[in-house]
Amino acid sequence: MGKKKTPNCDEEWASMSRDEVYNWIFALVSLVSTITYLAILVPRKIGAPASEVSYVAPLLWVFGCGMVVGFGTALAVRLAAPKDSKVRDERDKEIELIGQYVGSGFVTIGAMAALVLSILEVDHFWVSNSLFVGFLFAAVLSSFAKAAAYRGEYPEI
Amino acid sequence: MTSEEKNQWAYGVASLVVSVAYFVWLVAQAQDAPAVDIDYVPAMLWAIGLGIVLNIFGSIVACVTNPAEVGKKDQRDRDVTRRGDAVSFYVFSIAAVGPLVLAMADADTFWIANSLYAACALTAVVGVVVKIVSYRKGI
Repeated sequence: MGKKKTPNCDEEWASMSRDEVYNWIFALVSLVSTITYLAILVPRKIGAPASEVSYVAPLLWVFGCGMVVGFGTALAVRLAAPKDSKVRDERDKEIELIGQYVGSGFVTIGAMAALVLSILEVDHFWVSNSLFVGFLFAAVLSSFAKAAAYRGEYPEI
Repeated sequence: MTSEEKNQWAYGVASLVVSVAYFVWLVAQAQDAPAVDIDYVPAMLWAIGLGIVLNIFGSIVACVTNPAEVGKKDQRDRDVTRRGDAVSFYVFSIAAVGPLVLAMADADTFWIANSLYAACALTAVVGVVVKIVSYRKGI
């Protein structure tokens, strides 16, 4: 596995590629969503049996708000970006792959956990949340892995 | 055909044969009894195990038929793998929303487990089809 050095680490915000800006939006939105969801869910679960915890409304709100804020901000950035801003290049594509590898790992772990839990007939609370938290972790970790790749060295996949 | 392409054929055929066999069995069972009463767990575990064994067997056949090619990966193999994996990731992420919705709606675990298995099988087959088409027609 070769290492690639990201050129020019002192780039200013304005010279970031659009993909990097989108990635930062995605990273922050997914981090805030994950923290919010767990902050609502964990206190509800403590001291209550899984079957009595109401998690569906917070899940849908966190998902809906995350989508609206994320895509809204990305659209605003797209409209505000100068016409000559950098479009996607080879480096963006390589870093996108790193995000996909990290993301698919966590989505798969969440789904496999959900499959085992549903075969064992565990309460739906655990099945839903292993899937949803798998998605959230995939979003947070893949976007921060990409953000780190943009700022430093990254492995070639 | 490169050894990587043969591996993909092995994986694709194994996934397709096993999952189709499983779902045919499931539909046949559903004729006689309500779906939620079917004892699907042993059959699903057999299907998963058999899929893995067939895939390994197929890879070994691919190796034996052309030992000189084994382990050689060129740029085209890498490009095809990247593209197939990217498509698989998006297909699986979207397909896994189905089981999530079923679980949130408190559907029977039969439906959740089987929709998850279907999502995996679909992803495997789509990934292989994308890779094989990329090999044949170029990227």
